[in-house]
Amino acid sequence: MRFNYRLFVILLIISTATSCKKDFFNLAPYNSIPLSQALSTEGDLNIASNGMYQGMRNTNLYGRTYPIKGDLMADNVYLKANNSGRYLAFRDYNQTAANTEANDTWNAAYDVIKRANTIISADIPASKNVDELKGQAYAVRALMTFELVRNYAKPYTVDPNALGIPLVTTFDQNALPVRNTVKEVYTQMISDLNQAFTLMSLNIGQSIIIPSTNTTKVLNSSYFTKYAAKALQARVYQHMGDWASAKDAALQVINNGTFSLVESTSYVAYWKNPAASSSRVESMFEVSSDNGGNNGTNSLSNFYELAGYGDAWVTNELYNTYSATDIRRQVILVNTTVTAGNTVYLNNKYSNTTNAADKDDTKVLRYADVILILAEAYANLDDANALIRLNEVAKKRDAAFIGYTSTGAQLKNDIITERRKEFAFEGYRYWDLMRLNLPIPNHTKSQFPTILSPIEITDYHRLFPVPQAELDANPNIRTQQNPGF
Amino acid sequence: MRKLLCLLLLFALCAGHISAQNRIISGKVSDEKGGPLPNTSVVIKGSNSGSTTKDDGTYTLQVPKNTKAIVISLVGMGSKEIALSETDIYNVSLTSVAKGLDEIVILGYGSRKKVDVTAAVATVKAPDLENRPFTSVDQMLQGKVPGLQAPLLSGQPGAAQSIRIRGIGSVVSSAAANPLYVVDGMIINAGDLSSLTATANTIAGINANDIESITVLKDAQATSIYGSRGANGVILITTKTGKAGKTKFRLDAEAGITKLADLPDNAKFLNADEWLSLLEEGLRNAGRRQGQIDTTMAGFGKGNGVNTNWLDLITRQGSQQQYNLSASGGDDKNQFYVSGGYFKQDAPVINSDFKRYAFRTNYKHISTDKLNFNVSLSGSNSIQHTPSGGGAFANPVSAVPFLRPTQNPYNADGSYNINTTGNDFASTFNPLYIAKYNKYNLNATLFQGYIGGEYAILNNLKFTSKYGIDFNNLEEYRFWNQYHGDGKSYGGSGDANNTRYFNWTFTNQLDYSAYVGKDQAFRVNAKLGYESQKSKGYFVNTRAEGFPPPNELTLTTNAATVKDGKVSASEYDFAGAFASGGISYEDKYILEGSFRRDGSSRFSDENKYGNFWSVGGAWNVQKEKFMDGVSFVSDVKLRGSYGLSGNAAIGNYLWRQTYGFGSNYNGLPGGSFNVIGNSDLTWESTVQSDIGLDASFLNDRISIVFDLYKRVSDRLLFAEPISRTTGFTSVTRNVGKLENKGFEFSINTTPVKSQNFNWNISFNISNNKNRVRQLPGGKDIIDGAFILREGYDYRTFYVREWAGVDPANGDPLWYVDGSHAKTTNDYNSATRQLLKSASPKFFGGVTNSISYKGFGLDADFVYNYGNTVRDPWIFYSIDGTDPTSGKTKLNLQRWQKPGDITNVPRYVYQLANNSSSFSTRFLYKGDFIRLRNITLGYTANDKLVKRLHGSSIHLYLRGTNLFTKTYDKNLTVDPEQGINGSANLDIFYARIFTAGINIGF
Repeated sequence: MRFNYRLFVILLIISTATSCKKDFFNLAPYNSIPLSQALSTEGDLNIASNGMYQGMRNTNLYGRTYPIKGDLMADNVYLKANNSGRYLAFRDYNQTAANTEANDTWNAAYDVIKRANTIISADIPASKNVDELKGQAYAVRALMTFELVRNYAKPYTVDPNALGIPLVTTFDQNALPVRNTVKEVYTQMISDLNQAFTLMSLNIGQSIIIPSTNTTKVLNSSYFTKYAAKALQARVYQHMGDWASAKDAALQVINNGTFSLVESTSYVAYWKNPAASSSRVESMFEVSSDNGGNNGTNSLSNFYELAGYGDAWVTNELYNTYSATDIRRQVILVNTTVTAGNTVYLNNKYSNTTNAADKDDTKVLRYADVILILAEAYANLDDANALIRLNEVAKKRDAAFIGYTSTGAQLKNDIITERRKEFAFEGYRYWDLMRLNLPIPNHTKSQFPTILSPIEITDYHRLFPVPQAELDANPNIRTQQNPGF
Repeated sequence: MRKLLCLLLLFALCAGHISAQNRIISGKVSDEKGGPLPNTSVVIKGSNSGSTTKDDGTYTLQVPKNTKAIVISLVGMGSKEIALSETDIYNVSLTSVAKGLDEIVILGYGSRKKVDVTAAVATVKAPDLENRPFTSVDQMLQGKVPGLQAPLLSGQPGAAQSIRIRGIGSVVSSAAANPLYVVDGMIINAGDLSSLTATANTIAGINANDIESITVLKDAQATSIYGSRGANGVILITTKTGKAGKTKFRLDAEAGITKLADLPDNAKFLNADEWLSLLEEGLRNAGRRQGQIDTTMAGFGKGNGVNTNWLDLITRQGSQQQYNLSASGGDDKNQFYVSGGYFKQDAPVINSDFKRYAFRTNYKHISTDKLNFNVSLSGSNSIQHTPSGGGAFANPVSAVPFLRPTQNPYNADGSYNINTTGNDFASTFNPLYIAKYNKYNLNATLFQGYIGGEYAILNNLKFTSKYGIDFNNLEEYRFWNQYHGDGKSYGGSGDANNTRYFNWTFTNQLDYSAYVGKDQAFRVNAKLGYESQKSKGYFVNTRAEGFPPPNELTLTTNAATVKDGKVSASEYDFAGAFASGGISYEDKYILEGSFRRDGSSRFSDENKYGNFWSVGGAWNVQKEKFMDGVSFVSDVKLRGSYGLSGNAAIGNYLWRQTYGFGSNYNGLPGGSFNVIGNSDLTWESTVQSDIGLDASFLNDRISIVFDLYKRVSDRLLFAEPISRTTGFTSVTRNVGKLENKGFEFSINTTPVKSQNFNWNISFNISNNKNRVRQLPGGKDIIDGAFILREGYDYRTFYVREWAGVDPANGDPLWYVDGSHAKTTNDYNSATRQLLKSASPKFFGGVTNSISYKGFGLDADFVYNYGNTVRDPWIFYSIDGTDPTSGKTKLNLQRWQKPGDITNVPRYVYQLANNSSSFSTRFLYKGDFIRLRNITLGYTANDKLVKRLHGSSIHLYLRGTNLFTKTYDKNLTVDPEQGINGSANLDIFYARIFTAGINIGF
């Protein structure tokens, strides 16, 4: 049979011409869907909510930088001499506008705000679940705004009219915002937290049930809940020095939240436990890391633990503020081998670096904070309840302690000292000193030998610079750099 | 338009076929001495159909009765047109001609006689590509092709290679500015497709010894036929094929050693005594008391008697080998080329090597004088070991600057020291232990092949169809041991990724050529085609942690906890219709044009299609009457072209505004708004004009090629930085304009040409001037160490200007601003300036070949002038900011007492004054001349060869990277760096010595 070449060629042409079809070019991605289709049901909102919390686990936020900064820039920890080279600028107070941490925390926090805004602006009819999830998003937006404003702007207590940070409540890819004032930023946060408190109705231990996706999500301490939002609001008021409002917010939590402090017998186990809790003991909000989702060698625990980088060690001065009977001293390891001839103190609040099953969460809000905020509020309002609330925490942690008896300025100092002991390695210390506008005489550059590098309140490095990359991309903010940078 | 072209195609094929009676002619083709000329083409004038002569020079050819003439041609022997008369026997003799004139040049979707080419193209042929100690052919082009930059990026064998043709024309990513790679007509996925390997390259899977030629398409006339992807040039790789005749075997074998190439003195490190005395001085300058100094010094190893040269420990002498065996031949009906090859190279750094096993089969079957088929299949398996890259402590090159000479790599019993306390490896790693127990394996399999056919519908109308596949499979395995290094906190960790790319190209085209007009003075040719291509990537990523001791079983099946086991995929496709046509008058005046319309999945429905075109002309001045008497000129040709080509090298789904998954929390699925999207996104379009001159003189003893070009990339694809308060850092838009203009000049001369002694020198120089012409809103964009500003080079550094060291107190000084009126010792008070550029002003190569009787000496130099290189990692190894790291020799020049004039500040322990932060202090002149290859060869004479029953024997000794001349005494890195001029602790380059033999039989 003679092969019909012409027919063959025509067939070939026809087969190639089929790829002229428009469908040929319609290739949809395998790991994403159009944004416009992404948030239309309660189930969708729940997925977006998970994504929002995951954003806060970023190494540049609660994953590592925030908690490290709050201790390293103060006087609780120092970097060992032969460290891995991370966070040197926090030790040296020499960051420039190009500083990596300043840049990365800025980007990461606004990324979370974007995720929260996606939820808040989702066009879904209100329902109990929608309210709950949107309420959580308001709380997260407030939390990120709070971290941004205290990192990049002067404390409210120093100058509420100073430049704060740009407030972003809706997504606009062309926005070139200027910095709002500190006061405007705090007003927005209070409003977001009021909204969160109103929308949310669930407490830790209760569940979100979404029948359409067969979801039952038990709200443990790794999600925002009604009283956690109120606790955050108490902290916001504390940073403003608005003691009456701080007192009210703290009391709402204490009276209605049914939280309790962890018992000293469970204290060490509490820190050893890498999982979030549903029991309303101590933990009010934490950012979860687990075996599937964690920062690996870039985690907080890897930075502290000798099994990891083991870069940040506890200052001798901090260690010596604890009495021998203080249970909190049990989460500080005493090591005499790592540096021959010297006794070294190591933080053991995050001890799950090598635990394959689960990783340490980062505690963001604890019940002890609410009580100590209340104590500080009372102290500033000259209310005798201050001492009671202070001792409520202090004696819980140290059964042998007879309790504080101080008054006036000494009482306020004692509250700050107690806060230092209670929240060591959780990133609190620096912010207590900042909002009270105090110098940091014991900022430790080196422990062996002890070299202190006192930080005065005039040191412009106490604030992060607005990142160079933001100045470069946003001309409107270019003239609003923090002084000194 | 698209439909119209599809229709046209069909129409053209259905067009009538004029049948005619045929007759058979035959004859013999011989050279001027009467010797037979095999493989000579004999074609019917004005068509593509014809035959080739056999080994004895004879041919037979069936021709239509009305055929007027046949054309006999052979490369190097010119061509002759024979008018047909009544007789059926035509014996023809050809005389050897000056080479070049009748050379065939491979172009996009076809080829042309060189005399007809209107485009700017350059060809590199097999002898320059065979048996080179480089893993991939893209690393061999530096200095060979005017206008093409291919600086080595890393000494890692198998490393990715960046190529820039006529400057940087795209900015959206580094890969986007690379040229398009086309292998035997198939558009391939070129570059680094790996996911765990620090650097890899699919081109390294191609055996360079299988390559017949590489054609680099540079101007619009050459590239616009590739439409949406031609803007940054096209590299056409053509593999070897068989020719009718006796089967030829060829064996190539070489073996040698690789050693560390020279490092600048400043890149070397202090020994223990020097380091300790520097430490002591630093502590003293920091105001430490003697007791404190003693404790600190003891803590960092004073008196421990250790003096480790880490650089020596992580470098080594490795081996270089390659063996290739090929056979080619065939008869009138069937022609083949088959080959097998093995290539192995060790880097001069531990744990870095590459091995490749490759084969190729190219087969052609000629069914009738109208129909032939092609089949090609090539496969290779590459096994590459690549340490972590960049600043990772597991990278041995990165470990060196962070380790102290007082650290002991071994325990007293000779085992590796992995203690993490005291002066040992507290946060750094012992690179020797990591190299021994960690695994970084890439096993890459590449298959490329096609089936194709050609059918002569009419004598002068040919249909060609080709379906090609390009299949990459990458198995990667990374194991981190549980005792030391990155894997310690996981109890050992294993990552196994499998990446697969299946890419097909289907091309159908019609080629038409005819002589028209009086005396058939005009020759016309036309091409019409349609091509579609689709590539799908498929990615399996798995991880497990918690390995049983003692690290012997390293596959994840032994591990306790599965951490990852996910699959993803990504696709893109393109389809386009193309057409080109040309007319030539007596080979004197040539006018050509081309057009392509492309569509792609990478753009939204509104912007799916783009049109690309070009026009070109050439004037072969030599063919004019008035040149007849000018005997010293052998050839003169003027060329010019103008046209538009595109670039679409962006993420596959970037135009879509998407919400992506994977941001999981508490083991529950999470999603987020992850791509900002831009439905306005469209092709980058590059308009290029080119004027060229090809000339040769004195019987081709001197030949030159000169090109002037200007290319303007408009609607630049650009990740435009946006306010980070949006939650995004950038959005990809078509913004901005970039201009590259310059010249290329190459000259090839043969000063001595005699029976026994020949001397050939070729030299090329290219100049490219890059300017950013337009930025969104005219605003500067700061891109890391660079700034984009209108009117400036794209790779202009934006940097604080170093003003030296204050002789009074040893403080570092920077200029406050560009006026140089004031200096400051506060880094933050110094403003950044636009200074220097990473782009070279001139670059090129020189090749010098001398041969005497059977001996030959070839030397290839590459050079670069006028660029700046940067060392970003010196931060840690100079000055006192990070005093516990290793310190380079440069620290010996530090300021020590008032009045000292030096460039290295006072050394103060832990002094954080930013003295080692990025400034012009760490920008160096990148000028260099490097002896890339020098080869001493001997070709055995015919007598000897005959006695050994071979057809040729060649022996050689080759040295690679033997010599480098640099021009900046401050250099801390090798001046040969990538396009951004930034060193990144890459695997050091090798100096390679090889001895080899090539035998033909």
